[in-house]
Formats: sequence, C-alpha cells, structure tokens
Amino acid sequence: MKNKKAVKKKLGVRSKSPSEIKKLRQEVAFLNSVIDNIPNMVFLKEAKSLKFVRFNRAGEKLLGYTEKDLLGKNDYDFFPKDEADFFTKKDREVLKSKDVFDITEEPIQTRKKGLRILHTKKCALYDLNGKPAYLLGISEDITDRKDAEAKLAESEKRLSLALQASQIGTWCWQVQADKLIWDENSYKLFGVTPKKFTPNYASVMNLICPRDQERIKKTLTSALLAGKEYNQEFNIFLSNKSERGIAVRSMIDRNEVGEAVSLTGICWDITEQQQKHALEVKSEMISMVSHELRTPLHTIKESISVILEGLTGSVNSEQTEVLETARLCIDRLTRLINNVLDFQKMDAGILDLDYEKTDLNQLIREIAGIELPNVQKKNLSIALELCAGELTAEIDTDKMIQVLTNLIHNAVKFTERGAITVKTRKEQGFAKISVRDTGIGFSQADADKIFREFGQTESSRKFFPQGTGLGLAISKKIVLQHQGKIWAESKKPLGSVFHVLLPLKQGAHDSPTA
Amino acid sequence: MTPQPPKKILIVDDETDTLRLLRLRLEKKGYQITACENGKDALLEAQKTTPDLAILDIKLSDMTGYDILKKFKANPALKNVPVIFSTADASVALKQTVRAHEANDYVIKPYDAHQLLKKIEALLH
Repeated sequence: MKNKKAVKKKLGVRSKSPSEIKKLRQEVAFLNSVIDNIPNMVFLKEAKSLKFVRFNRAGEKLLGYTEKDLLGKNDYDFFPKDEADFFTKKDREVLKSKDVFDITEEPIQTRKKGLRILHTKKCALYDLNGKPAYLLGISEDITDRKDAEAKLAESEKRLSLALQASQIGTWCWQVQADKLIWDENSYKLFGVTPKKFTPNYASVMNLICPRDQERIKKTLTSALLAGKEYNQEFNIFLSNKSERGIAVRSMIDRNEVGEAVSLTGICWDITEQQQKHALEVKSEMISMVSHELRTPLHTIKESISVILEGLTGSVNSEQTEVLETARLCIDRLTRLINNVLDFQKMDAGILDLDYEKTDLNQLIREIAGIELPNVQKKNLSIALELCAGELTAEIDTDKMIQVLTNLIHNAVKFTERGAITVKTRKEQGFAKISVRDTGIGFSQADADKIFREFGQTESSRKFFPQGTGLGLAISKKIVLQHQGKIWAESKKPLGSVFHVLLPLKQGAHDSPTA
Repeated sequence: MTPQPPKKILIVDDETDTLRLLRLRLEKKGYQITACENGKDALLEAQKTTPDLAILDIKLSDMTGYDILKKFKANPALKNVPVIFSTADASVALKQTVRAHEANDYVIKPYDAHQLLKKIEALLH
C-alpha cells in the first residue's frame, strides 16, 4: 500500500473526491487484475534508481523470484553483472528517449528455468511535468518458439543437404499457369541452367526423347483428369547427345471442383539402374545363345566321334580323313563360340572370376605338355626356365589356363623354326611370366593392335585365317580383371615376347600402371 | 573270380539325340544304362534301380538337375550316388554352383567324351 501511495505521489496525482476515489479504486483493481493475469512478464522500475516497484505473476513464474523478492532492488541484485549492465544501459536509453524500445531477443538468467530468451518492449512513464518517472517493461518468453524455429531451420538444412547429396530434384508445376518451379537439383538433372532455360510443359517435353514423348503426354493427360499421383520414367537428351534416365514421383492437388491445380514432386537419375537392367538382359541373352549353340554342337561332335571311334562299325581311311576334318572344324567352331561369348561376358562386366591359390609353374608345365605334340610336329623345341620352387598366385585357374594356353599356342603357331621359351620369376609381389618365340614377330605399329578384338596383324591373317581374332583381346581382359598387366615386344623378324604380370595376392596391390 | 555285375548309370537329358549317343557310348563300355528325358521319370527310375552314378543335365523341361540332386540327398538310398552335371550353359558360375550343390563333377557341352569317361571311372572305382 505504501508503495502505491508513493507511486501516486510521484505521478503528481491530486486528491480526489470519495466517488472519484471509488471509481479510481475500481479502475486500479481492474488494471491490477489485468497485469497479474496476462501471460507476459510486466515490470515497473523507478526511473532514477531503476529499482523494481511492480512485478506481475507471469514475471514471478518466469524469473523464479516473487514481487516481494524484487521490490526495492535492482538488476544487479539478481542477474550476472554483464546481463545487469546490458539491462541498465537499455533502461537508461529508454528513459532518455520518447520511443517504445523493442528488444527482439534478450537472454536472461532465470532462477529455476536456466537461460531464457525474451522479446521485450520497454517505455518510459512520465509524471505530470513530463519527466520520466518510471520504466515499464513487458516481456514475452520466446525460448520455446526460438527452439522450434532453430529445429525447423536445422531440419530444413538437413533435408536440403540430403536432397543435394542424393541429387534428388524437387519441383512443382502450377497447371493452369503452366509454371514449373524447379530447384537447383532439377536443373542439374535435366542438364540445363536457370539462365538459359524456362521450365514449362513444352520446354520440358522438348528435352524428352521422342520415343517417350507420346507416352508421357498420354499418361499426364489422364493423370490430370482423374489421378491422385503422377509417376513416370523417361529418358532425356543431354546437350552432348547422351541420354539420361529420369524418374518422377508426384502428388496432384485439386480444387473444390476437382480440377488439377498443381503437381508437387521429386525427380532423380535412373540411368545407372537402366544400364544395370540392360546388362541383365544382355547376360540372359548370352546365356541363352550359349545354351542354344552348344547343344547341337555337342550332338554333332559326339556323332562324329562315335563313328570315328568305330562304335557304329568300321570306317575306312578315306572316311576317317573326312570325319577328322569335320571334327577339327567343330573344335574350331567351339573355340570361336567360347571366345565370342567370353568376350561378350567380359565386355558386359559379368565374368566372375573364381580365385584360388595355384602354382603357376605347375600350370605352365601342364600346358607345355599339352602343346608338346604341336611343337614336335613342327620340329621346334620348348624350354621352360621357371623360377625355383612354386610360384603360387591367387588366380582363376581355368581363365589363366586359357590365357597361358593362348600365349604358348600362338608362339608355336607363329614360329616355323627355332624355340619357344617360357620364363617365370617373382617380382615384388607379382609373378612375371614371359613367353618368347623365334617366329614371324610383329611391327611396332601392331604392338597395341594385337590386343584389340579382331586386331590380327596382316601376316597373321594371311597365314592363319582360321584364328578368331579374339584370343589376345580376351587374354588382356582376363589379366586386367586379375589386376595384372599384359604386353608384347617384338623385333621383326627375330620373334616376339609376351609378358604377363600377375599379383600374387588379389586385392593386396594397386594394379601395375599400364 | 566271379564277374562283377555291370555298373548302373542313370543319364538324364532333355535332348533325345544327346541321350542316344551317350547311351551308345556308355553301353559299349559295358555300363548298364537307364536314360530319362525329364526330372520326374529320372526320380522314379532312380528309386527303382538305385544307380551307381548319375549324369544330370542341369536344364530340364520340368525341373533342374540341382532339384534332382536335392531329392537324392534327401533319400537315404540315393544320397551317396555320385553325380556329374552336364550343361550347355557355360555362362553360369558353374564351379561355385557345383560346389554349392555338392555334386561330384561337371562337364560343359560340347565336351570330349573321353574326359567324361575318365570322370565316370574315377567316381566308380
């Protein structure tokens, strides 16, 4: 009560008649009730000392001090010095100015709720002489709102990062206005820039491959008429003429009469999936062709063998000769089919290797043994200069037999006199195999060409037209898949040497530089 | 010494010609052959004759050679019958598949009949 009298005196209020006093009391009670029940903190400070003279219930709840605690005290009695300095400085500015101060964010240390953020409005109350007598402050606790805003901003940032990382584009098409709003990713996906491209129905349709356009137009028309969603996949042409597969998923918003108003959705790149699917189809086709070719080939081969071996009765020498020719042709055809299919598989990246530890020296001895009859037939010799002991490497044995057989077989095939030498040695985690011959050799210009598919040299084509032209190309692919290296040197007409470098352990090395 | 009864071999292939030629070759070698063109017949014949060895084509009209092998493995009388797979499909990772199905061996068509005979002899003796 003493307090309220002092306030009256300070504001220079003159004495009133009893009825006026009654009315005034009613108004004061009303005002007090408002002040105590509004959810924002309200406080009044004496202008000179900045001591609290009024403090409402919301303030008590927020700061954790009662009005009684605060009355007659100033900010320095409750808050850390830097906070109290800030409040005091602001209060003085407010009292000097005639304006209402709006402090949008003001941190404050409370007694029970820790640090809170306030949105505060402050103004001066003047006495009858127009001098500032009090400072009025009203504060709203915006900590929770600030937290929510920060969380929202954080999750928006995360979403945007995720979209960026996943390269998913977001878009919205306002149907009536034909206005298409794209985000940065959408522009990137369609291979265009906002400066040079205005996205709308016609301009986007123009990017879509002609073979997909009709389908997209039809499906979009029917979705606009009655659909809830619009989901499609199509290909577009990029500026470098290459194609990109794009998938779109979207929701259709309709107005009260059911007309489509807008489509909101996402789009992303599906080129890789499309390529994977194409590979699966190719792989299936190779498998089917393989089966369909090998089955009759087997029957022909076996029929000839059964007759040749006399299982169906005796055959004379002339018949034997004719059948032998047929058998050789079947073998050649088999090799060709194997090579073509292997090559297709490697080209499609679907040749799985089955690595196992194998002694390369032993493998070479076996292959040389098989090749020996051909060597002897041509009066050549074959020398094995293998490193001591075993030369064990992690290889797909069957595939490496194919490579080494091919190299040794070629050496014999292209040599008319002299010798074949196969050398092996260990070289810093790699096995090096060299096959040297004294044959026709090749020119420097042909050194790279011979490893290309159908890259036979002129002389090899002339003398050995029955070659498939795939042997070395396949060998190279097999060696590369082993993380190895294959190359050839030749000094025409002194013969040639083919080298293979294979890692002893798979996955233990970077592949040697080509 | 009493002569050994001939070894019984079950051969299964959906190609009649392949089957006929293989039967001819194996019978000349003295084996007793049961030939079937589909999986259902093969399972019935196997129950009846309990072969000493089976040569199974992988791709059959009604099931795969793998299916037949699984049925063998589930049957106490047949679970130890050695099996050689024969296939014209070289594109499957055959070695791994054969290993996974615990078959004894395999040949890829067109194969050399003498190699097949060697594999048969190795498994029977």
